[in-house]
Amino acid sequence: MNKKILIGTIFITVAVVFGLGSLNYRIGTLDDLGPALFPLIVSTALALLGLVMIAQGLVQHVNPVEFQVKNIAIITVSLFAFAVISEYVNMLVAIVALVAISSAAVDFSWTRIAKLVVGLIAVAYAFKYLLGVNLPL
Amino acid sequence: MDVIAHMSSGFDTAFTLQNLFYCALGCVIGTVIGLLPGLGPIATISVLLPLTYSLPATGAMIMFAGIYYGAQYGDSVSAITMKIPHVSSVIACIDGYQMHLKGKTGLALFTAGISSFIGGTVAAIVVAAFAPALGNMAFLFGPAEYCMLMLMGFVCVSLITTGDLVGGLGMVFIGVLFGSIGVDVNSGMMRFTMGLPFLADGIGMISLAIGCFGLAEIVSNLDKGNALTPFSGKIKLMPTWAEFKRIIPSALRGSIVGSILGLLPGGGPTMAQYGAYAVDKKFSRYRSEIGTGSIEGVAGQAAADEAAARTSFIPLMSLGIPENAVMALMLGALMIKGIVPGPQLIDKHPDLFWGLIASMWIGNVFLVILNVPMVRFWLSVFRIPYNVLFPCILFFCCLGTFSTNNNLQDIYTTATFGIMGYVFLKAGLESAPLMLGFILGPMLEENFRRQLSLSRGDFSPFWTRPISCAMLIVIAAFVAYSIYTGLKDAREHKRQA
Repeated sequence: MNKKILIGTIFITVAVVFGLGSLNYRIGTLDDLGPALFPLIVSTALALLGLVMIAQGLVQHVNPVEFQVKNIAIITVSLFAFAVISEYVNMLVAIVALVAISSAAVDFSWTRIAKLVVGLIAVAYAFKYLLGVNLPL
Repeated sequence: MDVIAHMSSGFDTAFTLQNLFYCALGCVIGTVIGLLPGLGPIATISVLLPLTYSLPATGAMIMFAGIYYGAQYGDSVSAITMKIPHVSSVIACIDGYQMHLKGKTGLALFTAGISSFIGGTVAAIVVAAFAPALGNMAFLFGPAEYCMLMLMGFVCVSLITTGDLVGGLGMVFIGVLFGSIGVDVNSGMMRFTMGLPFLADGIGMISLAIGCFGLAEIVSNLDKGNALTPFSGKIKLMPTWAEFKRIIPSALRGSIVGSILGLLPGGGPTMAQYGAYAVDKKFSRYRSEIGTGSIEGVAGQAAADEAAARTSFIPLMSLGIPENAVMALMLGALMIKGIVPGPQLIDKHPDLFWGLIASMWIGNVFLVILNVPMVRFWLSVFRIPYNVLFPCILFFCCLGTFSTNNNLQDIYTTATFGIMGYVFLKAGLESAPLMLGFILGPMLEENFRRQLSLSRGDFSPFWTRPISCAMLIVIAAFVAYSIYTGLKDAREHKRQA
């Protein structure tokens, strides 16, 4: 997909979501603005910019977007795992999960993971007992 | 001679053991993140922002400021030795890297260090002299002027950081819309919360910043998969007297250019470097050598860089308007402490303001000590491979998100913004304008509504009040300029096709 067309589509999508959303609220009069007017103005401007982007994308030659799903998926999964495990087990196990899952994005090495886990657990304890951050360790 | 009395009290504040420690810590963290890929000052400050709850306000600001200008220096080291800038040192890659190739690495690093020191010193004087004056000017500002100032900042940031007004402004507007999620201050109405209770307070600034800047950056580095080649060569630091004499005029020119450009909305280090480089190319005695690895090409931009990083605090401190994303986070830090930046800040919190300025100069001394004799040590930081680094950064992103509200669910929000930031990055959109729009959006709306209710629904104050009108003209000029260059590009495109 052409980069500029993608950008234009994103802009218009956000503008439509917020623009339609703001219609649920009171617009008010000019000397007594309601909560709807300002987001409506901004959404309109954003939609116009989106149209300009799409127009540019149709006329000019623009590089296509290249997504690599693998790395962003790995990182997202590792973060969700960290949050879930911290909540239901504890953060020490969560650190192991975070490091192990995220290492799938690069070459996998048990010794490196072990060293990282030890280091990060030390950091976590330092945060808890030296800085007073209330971590679920 | 008020300034001198104020400065000496500022030094009293900055010279307490505690504040010296925060300043040194900020400089060290800043230098490290400037050197390493994957964490810029924006992401680092947002990770550390929750610490402000437990630190004194002055200490926190001193540390964040140290991170900001320390990162500028660390970044120039990385630019000179590896031609990899990741904060803003695009210009240092030109002459700095050429000097490195010629075997003058040590000289280039020394020049950057000393010039940064000169730039920082000049800027500290400028801040001390002008911020209170600008604070007085702020009393002339009504809601109309504040609106225009913010719009001017939006246009400048969009043009400068992205070079593309349409894309940049679009990101600003997305940020403004995100900022309007939550309770509307004027009517108490819930907006865009979709009935979700956790959105009532709005989107978390820290989640947004860590997602867009931290996570997106990590993933894009992983995508590139390039390994760094650490520098390992001889470094001869000390310049000869003839070389030293060439540093001074160029650094002074850069300091002045940087100080001025740092003041403008949307300004800051990036624009300052280009400005200083252009000025050196025109006025330096050695202008013919610039671009081929000359001392001037490094000195001017390094000085401008540091000067602008410091003077960009002036609009924040005196008007309460942050001019770039880092300053927007500083505003967030102040607000956590219940301090409202604006014309009264200097009078109400003199220890904070003058202490911060004094600490900027002390930070300069720290950076010179840290960097000039110890540069070899810092270069060894490059030897940390990215596959060790990035899980640590991920962990810090989680910690930063969690400790804002002691809430693990915030990590889901951060991860979601990470995906969003990644899509933006791949589409070629910068997230910095989004952050600025997000922070300034509520302020813009408030001032807009206040102005309209003051003038009873009449829009004319926006162009009849002189200061507001002047800013409107500047905005119009920027927009006209970008339409003009856009059309010119399109025509050339057609001719080539």
